[in-house]
Amino acid sequence: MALISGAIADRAKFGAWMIFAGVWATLVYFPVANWVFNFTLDPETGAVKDGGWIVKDLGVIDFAGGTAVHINAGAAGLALAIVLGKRFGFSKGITQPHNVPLTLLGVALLWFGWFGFNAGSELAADGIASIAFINTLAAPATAMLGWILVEKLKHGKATSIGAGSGAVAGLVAITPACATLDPIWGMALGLVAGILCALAIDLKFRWGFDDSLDVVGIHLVGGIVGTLWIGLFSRDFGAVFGHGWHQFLMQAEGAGAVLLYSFVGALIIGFIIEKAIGFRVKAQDEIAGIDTVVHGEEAYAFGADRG
Amino acid sequence: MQQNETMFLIICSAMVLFMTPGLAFFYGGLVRASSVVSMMMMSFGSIALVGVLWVVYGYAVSFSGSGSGNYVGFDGVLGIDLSNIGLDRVISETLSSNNGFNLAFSGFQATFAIITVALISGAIADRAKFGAWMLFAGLWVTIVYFPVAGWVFNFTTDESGNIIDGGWLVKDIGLLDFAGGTVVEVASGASALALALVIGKRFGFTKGMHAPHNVPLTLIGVGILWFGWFGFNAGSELRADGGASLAFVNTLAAGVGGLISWAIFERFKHGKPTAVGAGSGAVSGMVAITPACGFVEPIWALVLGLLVGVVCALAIELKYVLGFDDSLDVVGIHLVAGIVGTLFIGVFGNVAGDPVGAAFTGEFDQLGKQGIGVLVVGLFAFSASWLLAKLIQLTIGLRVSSVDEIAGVDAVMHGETAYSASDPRWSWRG
Repeated sequence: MALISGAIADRAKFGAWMIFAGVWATLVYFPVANWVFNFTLDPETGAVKDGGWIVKDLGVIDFAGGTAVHINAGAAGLALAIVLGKRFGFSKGITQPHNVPLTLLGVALLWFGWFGFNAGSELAADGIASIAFINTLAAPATAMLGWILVEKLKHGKATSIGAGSGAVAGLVAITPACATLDPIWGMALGLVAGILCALAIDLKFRWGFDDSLDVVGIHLVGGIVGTLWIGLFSRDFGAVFGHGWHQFLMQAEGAGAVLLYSFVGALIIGFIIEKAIGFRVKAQDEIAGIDTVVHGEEAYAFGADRG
Repeated sequence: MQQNETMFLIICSAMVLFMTPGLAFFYGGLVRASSVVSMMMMSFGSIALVGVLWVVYGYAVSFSGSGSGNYVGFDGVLGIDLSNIGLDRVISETLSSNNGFNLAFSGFQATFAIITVALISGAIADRAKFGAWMLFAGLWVTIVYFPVAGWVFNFTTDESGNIIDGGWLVKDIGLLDFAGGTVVEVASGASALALALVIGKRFGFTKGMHAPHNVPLTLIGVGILWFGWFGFNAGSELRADGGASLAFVNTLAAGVGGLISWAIFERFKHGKPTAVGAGSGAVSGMVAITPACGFVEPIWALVLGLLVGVVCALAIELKYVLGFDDSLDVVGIHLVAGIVGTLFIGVFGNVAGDPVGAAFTGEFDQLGKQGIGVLVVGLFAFSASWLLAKLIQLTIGLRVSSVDEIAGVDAVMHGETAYSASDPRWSWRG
């Protein structure tokens, strides 16, 4: 849920966001989580015998939430970015991070917690939990390298925001796949996700939607890549290892279903809120800075922004 | 299935990996505002590169022996288990047994390799090329860390706890190093010295010239390091038993000891205790207890912390006396406290209640073994790092140009500035 908010930075009303959060969680996240995470296994064979339709009927493998969390949030982020419209002065390079160490602290905390997210999804500290854990270490490492390599080749310089974003892209991509890949394929996934996401975040400038903090470019793209990757390189189901294309198609179908449902749901909810109470602050408030307007606070009492 | 041990190791690994960003903030706060991105990138770059190398071949080098797998090399010194390239054999054993312990252990050790490399970067603040650093980091773990980790951390014990097989320092010499005083602290400190000597001094290298630009960031770093260090030290027991608890309490005791004594030392020497001094003191205490945390009683851990707080506070002055620019005191803190902590075991150590320290037994043979460990690891790391650094300096260059150094490496190397106080979109508002 909170992931979505990155798409509407600098311009959203807090109250409108809180309403959106409550309604979206109820109508989109809760059902979708049930489609993916709720299942019972046959104690004998380990096959899924009951549960949500994506996991039971399609047989989608989504270990820790590539569809339910990342594609879901990414698609909703895209919808909200469209509903709210662009920020003032939306063009490439003009909005800089105000505090890089703070961003990297966030990356570090995310990575730390992500071990719990992925390994914890096994619900027991067994062999599979260890595999999920090692992939959660290895995939972001290659994703970081992939992202800064793209930057180095495209712009001549590797940035720290790029390294941090790369790590997050790798974490996103490995989330659905962390239990079913050998680390070497987990690392390959990280590399691919890092490169693709680094390229994908430029789409918003080309297509003109202001996904301010790249929720779409990282979570939607990373989530899709990771979910599909299972169909190609998973140990027991991957097409590359001679298990046919069935799993890949099911993964694509599951990803597509969640994407579509979440995007349409978020678009409708966002649009209704926009019409009813307004989602976006007034133009002059956005220019003044929403912290003082919406929260009556300033993050740093330096007064530097006052000119 | 060793579920408790696996869970313990996974949690500790997450804590230890978290230490490297912690180090990035510790170092990042200490440099000037135009180098903080570069400083943090050297740590984050280590996570990326060393994490990959560890999975590909690091584990196969460090934790292998002729006993199993497809081993090539000299047992206990240098070799590689080819069947573990890409963690292949561990993975298949994990899947067939559904026991995650060995794989979790390989991840735990990955985080050690990562932070050891990152530690070195403190010596070359404000002036290093990022690409050169990454090249150094990759070569350094391959040539220095992976083999030396095998010498110290790789061993098997029989039922009575005697070491029957493993790296030569721990098996043949009998070095006691619980969580890496030699391979982590002495190796990184000695390498930092070599790197500082090769890269040369910063512009304006005089005492008091380089004030930390962000003290809270440095203290966040200390806080994260301390948090992670519990995983580092207690986790090195590999299970949550009595030994882990001892390591845990000692990590607390030595950290506070170092914090207090460094601050008091400053109070008497300069009249004022500083926040950066308190943080550095805590770090030196934890460095020193790293090798000793399983081998001394908490009261001696406290003594060790109090001791190194003062010793390191004195040692960081050496760089001005001897004229090498170890910018963020990797030598003064990690090398010195690593040596003191490793030798301390030879004086006040005991192994599971069995005294080995000279103060209890009156015999100096354990102290001698500790000394050999420190010397071998220190000299090997120093010379290898010096050669690597020279090689890089002569080929692609290690240091930015003086103009770029004065302008600030962040903008030059990474095209970023750490802080932008005003939003460029509204710059027309003045």
